[in-house]
Amino acid sequence: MSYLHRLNPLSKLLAIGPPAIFLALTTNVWTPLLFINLTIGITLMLGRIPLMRYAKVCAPMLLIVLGFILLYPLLVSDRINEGSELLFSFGFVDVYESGVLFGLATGLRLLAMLVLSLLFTLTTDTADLIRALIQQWRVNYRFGFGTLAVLRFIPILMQQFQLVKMAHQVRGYTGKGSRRIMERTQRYALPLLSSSLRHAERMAYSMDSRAFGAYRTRTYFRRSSMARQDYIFIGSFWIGSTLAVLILFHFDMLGKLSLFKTYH
Amino acid sequence: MEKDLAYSKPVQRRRAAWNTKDILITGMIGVVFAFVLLAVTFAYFPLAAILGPAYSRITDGIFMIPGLMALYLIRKPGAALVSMTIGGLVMLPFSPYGLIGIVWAALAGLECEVPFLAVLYRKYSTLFLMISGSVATILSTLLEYPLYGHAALSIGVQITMLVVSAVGGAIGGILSKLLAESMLKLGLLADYRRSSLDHTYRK
Repeated sequence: MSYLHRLNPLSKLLAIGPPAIFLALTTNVWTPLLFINLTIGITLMLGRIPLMRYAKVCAPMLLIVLGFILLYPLLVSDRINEGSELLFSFGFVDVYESGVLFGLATGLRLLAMLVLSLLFTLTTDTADLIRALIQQWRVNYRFGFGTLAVLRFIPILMQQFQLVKMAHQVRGYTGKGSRRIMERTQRYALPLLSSSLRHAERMAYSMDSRAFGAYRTRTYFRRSSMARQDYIFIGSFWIGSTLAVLILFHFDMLGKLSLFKTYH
Repeated sequence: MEKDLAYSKPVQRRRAAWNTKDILITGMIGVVFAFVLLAVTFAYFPLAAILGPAYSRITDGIFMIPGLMALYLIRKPGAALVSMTIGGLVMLPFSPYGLIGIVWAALAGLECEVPFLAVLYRKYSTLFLMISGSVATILSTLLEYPLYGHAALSIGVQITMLVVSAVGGAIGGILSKLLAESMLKLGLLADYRRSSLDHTYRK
């Protein structure tokens, strides 16, 4: 259990919230780049995540970001391209310098927010998060424990999927071919959905019969609370990101801040 | 501790309040569709590469199905929000979007609720499900502006994007209605049978 794993889930949420909101406002390349490096460093060092695992999780994100960087220069409006250098033109497609910069900024902004959220997702158990939400943020416990009960169903769902697949195979249905995607969806989705709903119904009855939700007060087996290390983490994370922003501002690399990016 | 265990009177709930079965059925819809949506999320990347960011928004409607279906079956305010949020929680460890994904899912749930709130959760016809799907997808596209900077794209692309996502939302509305009806036809969820008996108004 690393330092980040031991922290309260809510303290991690509180720590990464304000920087993530700030990042949504940025419009240049340097701010997200700095935050990406800082966050990856913190996650790898304090979370003790193996580099390979991190890279594996990052790969699909990088694909998304690459899509933005490659596609946006071709699609931006003429207002942005006005007065900037023409990099190259190919047929009817003209690529301008500011268009490329805009694509880069969009992709990196997204990547920065995704990397920030990885700090949370890689080091937090969903069940712990729900427990903390129930006990500390006063989420209705019927909804909270209902969610926990439903989350337990995921492995069973996988099993059911294998079962349906085998049942189809026994009947000689291979499910190959891209044209019959509708039929395939129907053959798999309906049995899975119906069996899971039936399961939910049964689970609800058994929970009701054990007087789930009958009383306003509740006792807990696993307690969740904020410790001193949580406050220290929140405080230092906020101070660190403020310092990063101030340094960027000092060197005039912060760029314009805008919510809807209609500044051009 | 002693005080916690002392006898207290059971809570009395109104008939319209959520009971355990509602919570679990709504959550289960979210869980099952979380995997479908995960597959769609990954299928979206090659699709976006082929069709471009505007036309690939046709898949937007699929993301609204769990919300609309839960609302159609349960018919209680907040059903879409609960099912989409739980779906987002399930996707948290798998989705490439991470925490943004769960915020997005919760927002999508709220977007599904908006049209139903406008008619005070009284209308559940096929046409209304289509309309609410379209409204939800248009709202979700508009909410993407701060993050993705769509405002910089040319006006034509922006309009195409909104229209295509509205069409996708309508398709999502029909699909959720069909799925919910087939669930009711299977004889499941006998308590929710009223959903199919009365198409327009809730008694």
